[in-house]
Amino acid sequence: MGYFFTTLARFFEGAIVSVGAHLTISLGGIFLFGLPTMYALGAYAFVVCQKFGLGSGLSFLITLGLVLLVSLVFILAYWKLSNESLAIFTLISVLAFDAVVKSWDSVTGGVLGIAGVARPSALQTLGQLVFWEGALIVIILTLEYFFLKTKFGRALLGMRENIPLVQSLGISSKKLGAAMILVASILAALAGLLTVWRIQFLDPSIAGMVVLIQVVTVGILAVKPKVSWLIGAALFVTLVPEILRLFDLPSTMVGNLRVLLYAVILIVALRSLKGWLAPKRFV
Amino acid sequence: MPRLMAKKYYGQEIQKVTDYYLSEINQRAAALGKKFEVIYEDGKCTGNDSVSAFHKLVDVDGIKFILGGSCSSETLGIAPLTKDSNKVLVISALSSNPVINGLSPFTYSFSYSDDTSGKIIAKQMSAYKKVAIISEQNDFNIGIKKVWEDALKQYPGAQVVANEIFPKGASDFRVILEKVKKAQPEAIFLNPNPGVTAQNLIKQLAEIKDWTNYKLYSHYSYLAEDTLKVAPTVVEGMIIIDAPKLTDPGFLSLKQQIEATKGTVADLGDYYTASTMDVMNVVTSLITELGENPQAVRDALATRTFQGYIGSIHFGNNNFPDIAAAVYKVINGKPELQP
Amino acid sequence: MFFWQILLNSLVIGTQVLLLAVPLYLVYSVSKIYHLGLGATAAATAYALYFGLTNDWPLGLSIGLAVIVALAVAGISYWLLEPFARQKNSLYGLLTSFALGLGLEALLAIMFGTDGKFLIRQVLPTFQWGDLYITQPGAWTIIVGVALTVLAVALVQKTPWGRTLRSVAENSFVASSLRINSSLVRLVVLMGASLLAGFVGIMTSLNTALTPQIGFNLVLMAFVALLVGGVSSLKGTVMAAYIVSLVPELLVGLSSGFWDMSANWKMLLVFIIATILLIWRPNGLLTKAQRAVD
Repeated sequence: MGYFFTTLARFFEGAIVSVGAHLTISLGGIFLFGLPTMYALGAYAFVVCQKFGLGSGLSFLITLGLVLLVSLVFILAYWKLSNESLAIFTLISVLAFDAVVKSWDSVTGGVLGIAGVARPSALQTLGQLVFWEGALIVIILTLEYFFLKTKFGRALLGMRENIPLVQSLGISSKKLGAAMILVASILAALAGLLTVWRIQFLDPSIAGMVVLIQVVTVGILAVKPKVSWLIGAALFVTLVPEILRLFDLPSTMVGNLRVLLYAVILIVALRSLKGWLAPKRFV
Repeated sequence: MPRLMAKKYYGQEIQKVTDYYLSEINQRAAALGKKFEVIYEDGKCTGNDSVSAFHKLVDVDGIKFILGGSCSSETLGIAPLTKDSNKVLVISALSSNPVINGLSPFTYSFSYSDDTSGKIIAKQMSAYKKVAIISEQNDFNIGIKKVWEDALKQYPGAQVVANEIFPKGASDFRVILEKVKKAQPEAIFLNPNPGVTAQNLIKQLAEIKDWTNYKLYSHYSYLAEDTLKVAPTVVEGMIIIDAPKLTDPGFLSLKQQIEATKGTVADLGDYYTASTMDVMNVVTSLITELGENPQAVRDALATRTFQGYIGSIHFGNNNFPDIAAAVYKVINGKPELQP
Repeated sequence: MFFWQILLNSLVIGTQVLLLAVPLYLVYSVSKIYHLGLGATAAATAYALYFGLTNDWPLGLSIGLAVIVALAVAGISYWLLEPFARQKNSLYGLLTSFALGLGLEALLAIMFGTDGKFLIRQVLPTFQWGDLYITQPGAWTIIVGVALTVLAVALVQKTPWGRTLRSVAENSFVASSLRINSSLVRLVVLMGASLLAGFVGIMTSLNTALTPQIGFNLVLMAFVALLVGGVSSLKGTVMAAYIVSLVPELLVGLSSGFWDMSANWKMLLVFIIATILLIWRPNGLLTKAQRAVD
C-alpha cells in the first residue's frame, strides 16, 4: 500500500504544481520557469523555521511572506521583460536558489540536507497525508474550473491570443498576469511543502531540472483550458518514470532515459499541437 | 536482497562487484537450499530519489534487507524511515557521513566514518601554521570538511588561510587555485570526489609551475594510480588517509577476477570493493542462520564480531565499524602504506 | 600580478560564453527563437571528437566527424525550429530548443556515461609571461574567439551577406518578396551557429573536461549575455558576455576576509547581476527603448 500511496501522493503534489503551470504557461502564455524555485522555497522556508524552533503557524506565515517576496521579483520581471526574457530569468533563479541552499549550510543543512522532518499531527501517516492532499487538489481543481468560467478566466485565455484586445475590454493584463504568477507561486510552494512532509527529508535535490521539465511538459500538454487535460497531463508526467521501472533497464540508465523521454514527448507535443498552441489570427 | 545505488561510476562499479560476488554467494547457499537475488534501484545520490526507491523496494518488492545507499545523502534520506520499524534493515557499504551514526538502530554502514579520516588529516596538517582546503560541494566532501574544520580547532597553531568550495561536477578550478596560492598555505587538503574531478583538480594545480612550496593531503579520492598518473610531479609526496591497505591474497585475487570479467573498479577502490563483498557476505550468512528477520539480523550485527576482507568488523553501540585509518604516501606515483 | 592572473583566467571563460552568445544572437536575429539547444550541440560535437580520438582515428578524421555531427544537429534543429520561425512563434521555438538540448544531453549521457572524460589527459601546456600563465587551449580560445567575433560583427555589418541577414531579421516577409530565401538564410545561420558552438565545446573540453552538461551552463550564461546586451545589438551582446562572466569570476577570485566568496556562489552572483542590469536597462545595454508596436 505504501508504494501506491507514495505514487498517488506524487501525482497529487505534481497536480498542484501543474495547476500553477496551467494558469501561467498554458493559458496565460506567461513563461514562468521559476516554479521549481517556489517549490523548493516553500519546503525550505517552512522546514528551516521549524528547525529554529518556530511554531507551525509562524513558520507558515514566514513561508508565505517569503513566497510573496520572491514572486514579487518574478512579477516585476514579468512587467519589465519580454516573455522569452522572463523564461530565461526565471530559469536562472532555479540555479541561483540551488546555489544559495547548497552554500548556506548553517541554515539549510547544505548538501547534506535536513533529515527527520516532522509531519503535522493531522498528517502522521502516509494514508492521512494522501487523503488530505487528495481533498486539497479536488478543491484547487474545482476553484480553477469555476475561475476559468469567469470574466477573468476568459481574459486569461485571451491574454495568450491578443493582449491589446483584453486590455480594450478594461481588464489589466499586467495585474491579471501578476495575480496568476502569485497564485502559481503559492501553489508550487504548497506542493513543495507537502512533498517534504511526505519524504521527511529535505535536500537541494527537491527541486531542479526534473521538476522544471515536468512543469514545462504539463504546461505544454495541458494546452486546452480544461481541467481534464490538466489532470491527464499531470498523470502522464507522474506515471512515465514508474512505467520505465517495469522495463529491465540498467538502473544507471533510467534517469537519463526518463529525461530523454520527456524531451521527445515535449517535442512531439509541440509539433503536433502547434495548431492549438499558436494564437489564432483573426482577419 | 535489494540494493539502492548511486548513479555514475559508483553505481556501475558497485553493480559489477555485486553481480560477480552474488554468484559466489549463491554457489555456497545452494548447498543449503537457498538462493539470493538482488534487485537494483537507482537512488541518484539524492535523498528524495532514494526515499522513492526505498518505498518501491519495500512496498512493491517486499524487500526486508537493503544494501545501500551508496552516497551518504541516500542513506541519510532512508535512515529515518527505518527508525521506528523493525521491518527493514539498511546496511550500506559506502556511506561515510558521521551524521549516520545514531540516526536509526536499523541503519548500518560498513564504511569507515569520515570522522576518522577527517580527524587524522587535521592532525597531520596541524604541523603547519598555514593550511588550506579545496572541497567539492558534495555530501561526502562537505561531511569530511566539517570534521576536518572542527578537528583543526584543537590545534590553535594551524590557521586556515583559504577555504574554497566548488560546485559539484565543476571542471574549471583555476580562479580558486590562484586564490589559494595567494594565501600561501604550507599544506593543502584536496577534497574532491574521485574520478575526473580529482584528476582535473590536480592537473590544473600542476599548470601553476611557479607554485611548489606546499604539501598535499587528501583521502581515497587520490588512491587510484590512474588519478596519480595525471600529474606525477605534483602528487609526489602527497599524504593520503584511507582505510588500511588490503593485502589479503584471497581478496586481491577476487578483485582481479572481477576486473577481468566485469571491467575496472578503480574508482570504487580496494576498500569499498571489499566492503561491498563483506556486506553481502555478512548479511546473507546471518539471513541463512536466523531467517529473513530484520530484528534478529540487526541484533546479531550489533553484538557480534565478523571477519571480512576489510578486517575485523565490530559495531558495538555504533552504526560504523571500528576501523582504523591508515596513512599512505605517494612515492614514485604509487601510494605506499606508512608505518 | 594576482589580479591579472584572475583576469586572464576569467577572460577565457568570458570568451567561451561570448562564442556561444554570438551564434545565439545570429540565430535569434533571423528566427526570433532562442536556440537553447546550442549548448547540447557544443557537447555533442566535442563527444564526436572524443569518440574519434579514443578509437585511434587520425586527427583529421576525428575533426571531420565532429563537423558532421555539428552539421547534423544543425539540420535537426532546422527541421524542428523552422516551422516556429515561420509562424514567428518564438515561445514554442524556445521550448522546442530547450527540449532538444535536454534530449541530446540525456542521449550523450546514455551513450558515453555521465562521468567526465579528458580530450588531453596530461597536464596542459601553457604560455608563460613572467608570473602570468595561460593554458594553450585557453589562449587559442581567446585569440580565435575574439577573431571570430570581430569577423561576425564585420560580416553582419559590412558585407552583402550581412545585409541579407539583417533584412531577414528585420522583416522576413519583405525579404522574401525581394527573392531572398529566408528559410535558406536561417539554415545557413544555424549551420554556422552549430559549428561555432562545436568549436566552443571542443575548446572548453580541452581546457577542462568533457561531460554531457558542459554546454548547459555556458548556454545559460550566453543567454543572460544576450538578454542583458540586447537581443538586437551584437555589440551589446559582446559587452554583456564579458560582464556576466568576468564580474562573478572576479568577485569570487578577489574576495577575501569577511566578504570571501567561493565558487559555489557564482550562479547567485550571475542572477543578481542579470537582475540589476535588466532592471536598469530592460532593452539591453546599448539599445534605446522603442515604442511598442502591436
